[in-house]
Amino acid sequence: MNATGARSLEDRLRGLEDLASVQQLLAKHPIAVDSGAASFWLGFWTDDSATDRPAAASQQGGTYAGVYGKNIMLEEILERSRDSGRSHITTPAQIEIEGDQATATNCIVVIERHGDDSRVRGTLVNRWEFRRTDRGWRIARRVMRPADHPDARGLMLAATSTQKFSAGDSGETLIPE
Amino acid sequence: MSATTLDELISRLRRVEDLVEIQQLLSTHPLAVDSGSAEFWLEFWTEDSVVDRLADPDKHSGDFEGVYGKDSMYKEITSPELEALREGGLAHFTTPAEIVVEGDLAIATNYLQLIAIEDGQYRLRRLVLSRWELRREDGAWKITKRTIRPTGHEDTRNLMASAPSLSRG
Repeated sequence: MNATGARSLEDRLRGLEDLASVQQLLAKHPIAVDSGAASFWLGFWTDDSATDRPAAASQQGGTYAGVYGKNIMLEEILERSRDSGRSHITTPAQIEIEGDQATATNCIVVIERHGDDSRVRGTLVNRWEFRRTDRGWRIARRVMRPADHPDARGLMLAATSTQKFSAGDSGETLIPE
Repeated sequence: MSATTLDELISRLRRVEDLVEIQQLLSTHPLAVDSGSAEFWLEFWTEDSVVDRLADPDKHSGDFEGVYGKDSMYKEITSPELEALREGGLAHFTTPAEIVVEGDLAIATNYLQLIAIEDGQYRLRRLVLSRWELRREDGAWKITKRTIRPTGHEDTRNLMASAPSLSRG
């Protein structure tokens, strides 16, 4: 195998590693937020990261709305009550990686306990933006909209207008041009 | 370095890439259907691909049943019934698929919940099992068949029990 071939194998492996890193980052979200591990969770966000969300009609996420940074995110997570057993259940994300940037789109169902019943309190669409940093992949921005919000469809459309993850037969790169 | 040959390494890498490509393809499903991106989504289906489903008593995506091809799939995704649900706020909510790859063929199995908002309340409209059959075509994975059965139907358990990894032990 020549040097070019060896590089190409490394690129393919890196593509898989990048995807796995982003998947694992997203997998922390429900566990961290539902347990109130705010500092742990926000450790995976860049210093200049932001959340972009509308006010929740049900106030299930408190009164937070607009675009805000990590200090407010911390307050938001800590302020929430855990009494209702609120659970964030997520779909596997569709992920696009372009060099040192990545985006992921998934849906979340928020389920709460009411007596002996569990009820759906919200369905949300999320667009996550990531940046590769010295410490690995970190979240730079999260745009979140309820499924019945006018923007929700646009977030999903953005994820269905680009090429999906593809290794290609040549194996030279995992990132579609 | 052990005695692992480069060919073995490449073939192991290829297997993981196949799994990831199929995972990523299936992760597009809810987003494409909930946004109404029919053409985008059907690009990931072979020309001769089919859906096999039973009649939906609620006709949430129109009046489609039996085994049908891409023309009908397009009509179904763009149906007024589905569009009305989308406007109200609709989520096709999938679980991670169990995937088995055999050369240029693959089978994936997962659940789908259809959650709609009706009169301000969230309602679980449908809970179905999907069995996806895929084929590698020109170096890319494409769907050749999707079998959909609601939970509780006699076929559903058989579909799960016949997932290749279960039936082969």
